[in-house]
Amino acid sequence: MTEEDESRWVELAGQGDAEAVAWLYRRYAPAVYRYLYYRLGDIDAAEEMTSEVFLRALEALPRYQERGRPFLAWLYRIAGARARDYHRRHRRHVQTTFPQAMSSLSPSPEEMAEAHLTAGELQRALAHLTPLQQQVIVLRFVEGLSCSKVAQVMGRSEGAVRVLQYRALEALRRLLAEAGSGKEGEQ
Amino acid sequence: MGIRKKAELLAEYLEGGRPGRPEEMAELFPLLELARALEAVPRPEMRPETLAAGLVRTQERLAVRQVKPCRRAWRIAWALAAFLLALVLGTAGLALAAEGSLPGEPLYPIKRGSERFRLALATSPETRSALLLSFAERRLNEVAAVCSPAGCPDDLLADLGNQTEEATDEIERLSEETQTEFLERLVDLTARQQGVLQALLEQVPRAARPGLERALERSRQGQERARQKLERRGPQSHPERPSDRPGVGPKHTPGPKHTPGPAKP
Repeated sequence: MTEEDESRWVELAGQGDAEAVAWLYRRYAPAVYRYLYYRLGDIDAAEEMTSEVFLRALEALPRYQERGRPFLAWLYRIAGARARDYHRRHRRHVQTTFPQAMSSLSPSPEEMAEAHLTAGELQRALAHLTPLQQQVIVLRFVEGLSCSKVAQVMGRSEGAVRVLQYRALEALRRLLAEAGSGKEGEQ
Repeated sequence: MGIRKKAELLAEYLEGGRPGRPEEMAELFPLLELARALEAVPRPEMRPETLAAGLVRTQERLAVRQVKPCRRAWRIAWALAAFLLALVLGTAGLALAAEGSLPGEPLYPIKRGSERFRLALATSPETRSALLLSFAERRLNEVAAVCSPAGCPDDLLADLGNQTEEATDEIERLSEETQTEFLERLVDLTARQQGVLQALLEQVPRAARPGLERALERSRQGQERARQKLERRGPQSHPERPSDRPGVGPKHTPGPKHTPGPAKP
């Protein structure tokens, strides 16, 4: 699909075309849902908020068109803001201990590579990172976007995204190392 | 190696654009492995029924929100229209009810306010003159209704004189073609004023006379001004007198409440 195709669907959706709204929803809702799942850590809330994000995006389409950014970037932007609101409202207590599978990840690279993280475990680990670090990890390694695409989504330079990526991985590695050594201490 | 350099190298390794170098790999290897572990995490997917339900919910909410502002706008417009209508009807009703009020009654200030409003709306000098004459006529009727042998409020008499003078001033500003008719009406009005005031003057106690005498004098002066203007113009300047036309002739003003009796000392 070319950018022109997407622009056409977006334009039609802005005019209230139900088919265009459905097309955009089917194409982008799964990515928005995954992103929100990792940011919120709640399946129901992520599902509910996914449609809320679309609703806001479709209502604000004129503003999006003026800025000329990719539609997915627009959706991630809205989702990010909604996730921040959600955390502010719920003041969610961050889990301080990792689940068993996460704790089994030792600093050893071989063991780290062999460990099989589940989505829930990754989500709990991400909760210890800053919102920007969470965003870069999800977009880069869960969604598989390139650094340049992530830069577009986050509205930052590619260099800034690379530094963010490095810091996020480093922070996650340290967390896992602490969790691993804590487990060893318990044994 | 600075953090920016490490970040650049890590990004290049991750995107497969750089051949591995042992010294760099030793430092970045844990992060590369962690990144590989993250990429292997199963992606949480929306169930198809959840996706479909979400789409329906989005479209429903979108439809509701598109309709809502329209309904809200109509509601506001209706409320505003109803308020304005109530305001206009209420004001008009009140002004109508106040028309027959007399000085000292609660609605009288509304009657005077309504007169000022009508005067402010009048744009042509002819309309203003006609209005001022009719208001002076009202003041005369009010004097006839309120005053009695016991006395007459000074402010009411002052209002009568002021209103008559105001009408005279306005008439004098008119063009010669239209002035004659109004001057004749003014002469007629002042004559009736003097009749009512004279009758009252003969009934009221001595203490109440000065106010009436002043009002009488002002009325005579107004009449004199009007007569002089008419005389200067001569009979040919007004071939048709207002009294010759149906409905424009001299009016009859009811006399004061009590028939004038013998003058009191």
